[in-house]
Amino acid sequence: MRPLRSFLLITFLWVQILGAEGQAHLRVHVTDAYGNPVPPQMLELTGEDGKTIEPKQDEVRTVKYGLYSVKARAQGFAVTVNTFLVDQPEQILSVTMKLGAMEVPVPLCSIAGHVAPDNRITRIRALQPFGSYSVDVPVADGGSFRFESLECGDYMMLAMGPKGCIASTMFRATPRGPKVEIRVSELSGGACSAGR
Amino acid sequence: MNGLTSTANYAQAISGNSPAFAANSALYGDLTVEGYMLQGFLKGVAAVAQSPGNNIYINAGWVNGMTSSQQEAMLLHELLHNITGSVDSVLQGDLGLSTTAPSQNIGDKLEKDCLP
Repeated sequence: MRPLRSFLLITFLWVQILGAEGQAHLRVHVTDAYGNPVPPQMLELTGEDGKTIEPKQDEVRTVKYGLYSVKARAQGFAVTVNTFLVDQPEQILSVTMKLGAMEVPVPLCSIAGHVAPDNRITRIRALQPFGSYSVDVPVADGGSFRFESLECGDYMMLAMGPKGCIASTMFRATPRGPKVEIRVSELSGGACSAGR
Repeated sequence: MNGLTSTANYAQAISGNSPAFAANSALYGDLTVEGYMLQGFLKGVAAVAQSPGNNIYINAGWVNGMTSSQQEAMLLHELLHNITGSVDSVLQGDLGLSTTAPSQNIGDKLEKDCLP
């Protein structure tokens, strides 16, 4: 009797393991570009098989690994569609809503800056902490850099050298914001130096 | 309400009842409705609506030059913002219009389909 019970137990556990393989416990978190939570009126998660589910904000749903499209709609924002690769057993999909136009286009932001005096820095990466957008621009010989037509909001600015990240800082892009004067000594290097 | 004399904070006036308020506040800061109207004057901002809410701010500089049916269509457009809280691109999508075209196409469609 005991061997049979052990066999059934092992079989049960094996089926559980196989069944859980490639599955994620997933949450969708919707915010604005400044990280403020936005309750969506409509939230759709569509897999590669075309099957759509409608999770609530931060509700845990179990899905298979793969590519997913998230469509979100909320008052005051344009309809937003993002694509994500789900490949973690516990994963959060961060959806950043873009403000929608009311009669005239929503203003965009530029970030113009200067990095000095570290000549190891060759490019600056602007990374949306509350979304999935990132973009790199080169640092000119004089240390200046410029981002154009960004969605206004919060950005993590990473100062990158040929061998990796040298320093980082947070920056809020606003339409009437001043030029960014970033000096390496003012940057928080801890975020980049960790683990190196 | 007269948009050209309103000193109300634009973000609060337009999106105070909406989850977009925080982002609009960060974006527009101290800008007033009057300031928004003047900035948008050359771009043809005839009116903006509290979304959702009850208020509509009118730019007489544009509205006075419209025909009565154009004025009615514009008010319908703004009422849709009041009722739904949706922005132009969402209204355009719901009405089957181009979502990248200027929002004038909303009033044009309402005038054509809904007004005698």
